[in-house]
Amino acid sequence: MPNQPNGPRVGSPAGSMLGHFDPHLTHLIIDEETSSSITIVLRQLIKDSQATSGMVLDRAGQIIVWDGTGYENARMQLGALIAGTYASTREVARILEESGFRTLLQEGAKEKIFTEAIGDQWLVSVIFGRHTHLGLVKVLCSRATVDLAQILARTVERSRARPKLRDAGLMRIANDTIDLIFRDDSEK
Amino acid sequence: MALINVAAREIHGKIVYYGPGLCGKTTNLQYIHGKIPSGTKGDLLSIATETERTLFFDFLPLDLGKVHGFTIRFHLYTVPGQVLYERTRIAVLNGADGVVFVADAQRDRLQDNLQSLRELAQNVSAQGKRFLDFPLVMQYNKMDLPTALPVPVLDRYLNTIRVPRFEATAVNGNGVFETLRAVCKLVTNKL
Repeated sequence: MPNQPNGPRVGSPAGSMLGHFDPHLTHLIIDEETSSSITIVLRQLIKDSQATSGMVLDRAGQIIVWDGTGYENARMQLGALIAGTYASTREVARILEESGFRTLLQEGAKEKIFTEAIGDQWLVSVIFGRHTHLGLVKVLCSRATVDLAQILARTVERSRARPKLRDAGLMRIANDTIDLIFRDDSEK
Repeated sequence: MALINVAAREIHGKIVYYGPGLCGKTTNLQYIHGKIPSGTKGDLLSIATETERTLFFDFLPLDLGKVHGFTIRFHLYTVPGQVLYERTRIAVLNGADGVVFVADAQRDRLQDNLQSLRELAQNVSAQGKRFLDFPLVMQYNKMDLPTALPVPVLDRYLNTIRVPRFEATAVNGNGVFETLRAVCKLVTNKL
């Protein structure tokens, strides 16, 4: 694959692939193709590492793709907490004058969570039990982040190229729904 | 950065309540959580100290339901307001699509408000975003207290960039939902 101005560079570590993320990009569009591509990589990672589940999420804590079993009612909270914890470790790294801690391990008696950065804006997290070797998860995660970084870099390029959503109907109904739902009893 | 997941038919936006310590950020989320119908909200997650001061953040997911086939979700966060948690505020602010700046309207908190607002502007700019264009709503909280400054005075010092602003008494809910609606609309209109 040829190098692109802001896209991934073949052979470079995942961390440097998305170094020029556009802060002015107001939204990221995850289309069917992106979702399927991420799911394939994530599912393979979960299968090969014998993990129970995994997710790809943005640094704001929003889950892009979840695969695997469990935690159905707590996924949003997990995403928010993992992204928050990761952001916190990054600030610790800055104080220590490290370029960053690219991985994070949370280890319990039964479950462990391993998180690795995908470029500057995303994370991949894998949840696994006591029968899975941490070393294997680390190696497989590191490989997966290269593929995921490429997929997400293409998605950023596509999102940048697309005009804003500007669906007047969607905006109008969204605003009406906001007025309808986000109100106090005394306002009704 | 809002996430539009076409595959899952979901739109996610992140809204952060920012402001100095004890200005009422968590109170806003607690009031919203108490009043929103159960099908619309998730659990309110609070990472607080033993004395109930926010240590890391509060998190409240809100679900607008389906709009034009898309499920719209807003994730509300608060930052810890105490001065020593500046790096934590930077971490929580990361990726925010909109901010509510909660100011404590009391006379003796004006300096704290100004300092917090300046810090917010710096932190937004540090993310490579233009603060003047950033979706921001201001809330003057604790307006019921006799020590509250008049709105024109608060406007003069805090709202020089003339963003939408609301008077509030978050502890009894006054102004809480007006503020929430305003910031949610700013975020959806940016999509």
